[in-house]
Amino acid sequence: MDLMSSINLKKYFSINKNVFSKKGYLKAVDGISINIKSNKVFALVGESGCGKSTVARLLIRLLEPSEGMILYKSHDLKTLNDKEIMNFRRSVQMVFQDPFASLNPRMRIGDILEEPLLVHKIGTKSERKDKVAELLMKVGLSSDVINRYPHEFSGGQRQRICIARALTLSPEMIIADEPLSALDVSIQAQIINLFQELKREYSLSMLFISHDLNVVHYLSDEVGVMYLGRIVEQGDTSELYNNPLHPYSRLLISSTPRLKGRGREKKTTVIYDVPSPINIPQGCSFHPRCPDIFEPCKSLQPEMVNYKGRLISCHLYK
Amino acid sequence: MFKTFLKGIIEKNKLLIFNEGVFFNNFFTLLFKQINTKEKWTKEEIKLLRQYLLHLSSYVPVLILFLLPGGGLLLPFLAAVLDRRKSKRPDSSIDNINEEDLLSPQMTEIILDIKQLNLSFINQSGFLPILNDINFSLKKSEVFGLVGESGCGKSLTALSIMRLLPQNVLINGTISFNGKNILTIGEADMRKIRGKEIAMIFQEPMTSLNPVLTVGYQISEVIRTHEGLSKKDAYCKSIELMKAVMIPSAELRVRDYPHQMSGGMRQRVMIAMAIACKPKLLIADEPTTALDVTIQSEILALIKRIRDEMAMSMLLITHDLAIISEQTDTAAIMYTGRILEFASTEELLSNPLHPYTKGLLNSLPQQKYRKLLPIKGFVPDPKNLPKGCKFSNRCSLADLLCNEIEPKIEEKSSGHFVRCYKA
Repeated sequence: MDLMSSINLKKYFSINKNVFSKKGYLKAVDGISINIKSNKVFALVGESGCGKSTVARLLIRLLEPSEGMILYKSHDLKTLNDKEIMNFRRSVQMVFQDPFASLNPRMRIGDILEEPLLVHKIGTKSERKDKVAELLMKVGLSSDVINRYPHEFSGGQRQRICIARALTLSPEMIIADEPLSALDVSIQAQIINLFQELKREYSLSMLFISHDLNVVHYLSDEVGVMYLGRIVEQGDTSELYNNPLHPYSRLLISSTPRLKGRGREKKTTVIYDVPSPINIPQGCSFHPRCPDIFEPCKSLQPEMVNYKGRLISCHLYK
Repeated sequence: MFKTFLKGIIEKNKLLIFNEGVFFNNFFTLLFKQINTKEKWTKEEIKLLRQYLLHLSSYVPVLILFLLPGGGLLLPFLAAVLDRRKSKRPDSSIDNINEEDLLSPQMTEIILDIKQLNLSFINQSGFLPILNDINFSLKKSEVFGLVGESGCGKSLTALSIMRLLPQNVLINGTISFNGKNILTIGEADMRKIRGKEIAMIFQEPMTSLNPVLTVGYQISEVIRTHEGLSKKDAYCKSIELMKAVMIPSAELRVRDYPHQMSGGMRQRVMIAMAIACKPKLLIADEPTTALDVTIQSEILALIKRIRDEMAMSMLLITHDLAIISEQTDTAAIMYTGRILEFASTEELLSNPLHPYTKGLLNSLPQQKYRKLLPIKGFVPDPKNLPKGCKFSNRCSLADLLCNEIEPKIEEKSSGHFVRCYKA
């Protein structure tokens, strides 16, 4: 069952170079349709600046989409009234990238974790206290930390606090925007395990955004590869990793360093920078970097097609 | 004369005082420590105080000279003498180097040899040891990897080799590069080595390039300083270098400022600067951490190609074991300023002996559905390290011995060194 889905979601940021020039747009997200199934992990991968985080912010309504629809349990987010919005916010929570920036330095841990309950007017004072202690136990921290401030914790511990905060309202879905990128390897593994335990225990759905392809492979059930605001390939994680079809997915997967990957033959690609999202190339946006470029790529933007059970947007697959 | 005698003593004790201002600062901090904090001096601190006092006594003859009536008249004269000594310095130190350069033929294969490197920060409360007994060596055209989590002292090891340390550190041990000890040569000689024979690629290309100078100027600055080329020739050479690191349309981009380039391009500029004088040793400190995977693989391939062409040795610092596996010949695992395990990369990854190395490898998501076995706990604070083995508080095998006495690094099989009782 689809818990959350987006239909042709677009977000353009307007940019004015100077007063007289024509209004320009930065197409951060340009027509994204994804379905996040309940109790599944959907991952978005791509290079920096491809619009992954914007998608996350659109889905949780931190940003208003320029075009398109977001459905949550088949309700359009735009048509919800205030009370329904409150319920929506209770059931979808977010974990941010930088645990150093996403905790208020002037609040004690107990207050940080209690705040969502206060906002939503849940429980009595003692019930809230119990809930906070229970959450801290869940994420592997002792309950005597409630009187300490965020600066007293290491990055891994802070990320645990952020996860605990996201879980306070017992959400059905968590949106995690690069939750591991600020952490060390040994701590990363702890947090990955924590995510998996919580997913099993609370039957959470997750949108997991990362640029680390090894982690995405490990954690996700379905993956969408994003390039310059569009999804170029989407499908089951194992299948996509074993047999990437789109040239960009192939490039990403072959670029990922691997243990025991010594002497692995790497395809050298054309040296070309990621184009700026202000000046997206004509036709297929990947064509200047693509090794398999042919006639229609330069002029015609490929449509998303279903190719052997996988969604792919490339002229090679029809 | 007296001062040179004292300098001998100080060098003998492998102690380095970087500059006089810091010396006075540290000296007074230490001196008044007992009064301020009512803590007794430790043995180490007393040793250091004794050396500081010796150093201080070298000022006595100068003071007497000035206290004599008419001593002030000597000032211009003294200045002239000092000036002459300053201009002479490079020659005299070159003599020193030649004496030390007498090496056996097999030894020349080793480019960099670090022995018993210790480094501590000096602050108000005394010493804070950061690096402890670091030993490793690098052969010609070998690639050596240093792996560890953040705060384990990887970058400080690299900065010690470049001698780009902050001023409040105390460092002892030897870092011999081509047979000469980098830690004891003068600053003028160090400047000749830095950038020319040892070059470094830094982690963040945005903060390590000067934002107000064009990249062309910054590359040509290196060439002009070390090879004495004219401004114009150096500019032409920097275009060549930019072509060598595959920057498209280098003739145009040479006039760009760093902010006009993307992260990958900036890192290419950094590489161009590093290889400008064909260094014998290239230190790359997390060269690809800030970059996307696709750019990362391009940059690593580029460094590898240049390294092979110029037969450079490389010290690669990273936290990514996968990069170590793909790029290096030998690797060392660092933790809390110590090397815990050290072997050829293949041996290290296929047959890890230290529990920490095993833990790191088990923390990596490699196969789907294989449960990750992370290391429990967190990296300890350098002020609050465990007493015995520094990993004992996170180790599942630790017993009483581990908790009390720190193990020494030992060779378990040929070329495989481990710092663990249980290995």
